[in-house]
Amino acid sequence: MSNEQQFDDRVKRMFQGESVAAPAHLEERVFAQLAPSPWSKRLGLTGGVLLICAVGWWSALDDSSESMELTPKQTSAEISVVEPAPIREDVVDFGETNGSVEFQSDGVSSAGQAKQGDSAEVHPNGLMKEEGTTDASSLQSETFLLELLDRVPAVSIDLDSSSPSNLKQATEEQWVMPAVVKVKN
Amino acid sequence: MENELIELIEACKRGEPSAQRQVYARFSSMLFAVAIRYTNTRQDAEDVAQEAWVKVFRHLKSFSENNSFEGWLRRIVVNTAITHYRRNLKHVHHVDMDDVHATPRDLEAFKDLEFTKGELEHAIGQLPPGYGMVFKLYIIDGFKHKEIAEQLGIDLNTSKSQLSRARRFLQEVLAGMSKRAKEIES
Repeated sequence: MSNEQQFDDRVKRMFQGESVAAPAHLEERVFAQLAPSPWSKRLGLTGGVLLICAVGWWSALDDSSESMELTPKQTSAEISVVEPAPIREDVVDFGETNGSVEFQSDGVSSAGQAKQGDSAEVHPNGLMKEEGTTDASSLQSETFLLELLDRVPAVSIDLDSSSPSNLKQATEEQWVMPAVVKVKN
Repeated sequence: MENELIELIEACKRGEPSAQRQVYARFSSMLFAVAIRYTNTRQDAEDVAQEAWVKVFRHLKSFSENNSFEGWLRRIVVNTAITHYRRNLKHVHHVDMDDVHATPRDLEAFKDLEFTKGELEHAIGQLPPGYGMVFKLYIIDGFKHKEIAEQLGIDLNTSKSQLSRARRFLQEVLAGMSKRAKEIES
């Protein structure tokens, strides 16, 4: 064995089984680094919430842009179906307390017919009599609105009146039969 | 490898913290000793050891039980120390060594040279950083010259020549220490 090799072996033997006690804080440092930090957890959670919000916002934007893309024809159809109901509720009271409204037509024999009468045949003059305390200008504007609504080709555009489901739905929403009805034969 | 250690390693692979603590307790002294050997300060040794342990636990799944776990750990800490050394290489003042001229009589005297581990470590500490790295990697940790050259980014022949010079330098330093010790005794 050469001098070099003897030296190398001696050195190597000296370092076999070498051991130096590691400082106590090193263990904590190591495991603190290994553990997922609460900061990163918090960041992940915040990111997730933001992502969900962003997705919700995006879908809401998408919906609104779809509704903006409706054709004018569709818009008028919506008005004819949806808009008249609240206006009639506000203005047409049918005098539930006095129960004096009288229908001149003798066509109120079924729910379907009554519904059609509601939407198209209530005369503004009759309303003026009912709302005696309302001032003239507001009544005029309401009258104008009702006249406009009369001109709109209501319901018949999109709703198929022959469909039982449509009729039923419309009846449920619009049937506002007064408490006392006197029908002249 | 003993069954207890295999079970511990398997538990560590499953990410069980208690098993990781046990493995740490068992090998931390060995790993820290290697880290100290390759660094100049205790702070650097702690940094290297910490980085090495994190690597150990994060890459434990790649360890095969057919190999020596201690050898695998040692390799990781040495590679981490090399990375640390190369990272700080720009701060290291490069010193080249003059050829050591040892006479045949000196070389003969080295055979019977008496020295302690402390004296050897002190002598290794006097080597220029590059030479010290080559010496420790080759002699103590059993790296081949090719590996050393790749790891340190030096030429294969540079590794060989630096090892040869480092060896002779150490022998001379140790011989000088031994001579002075004998003089003091007498």
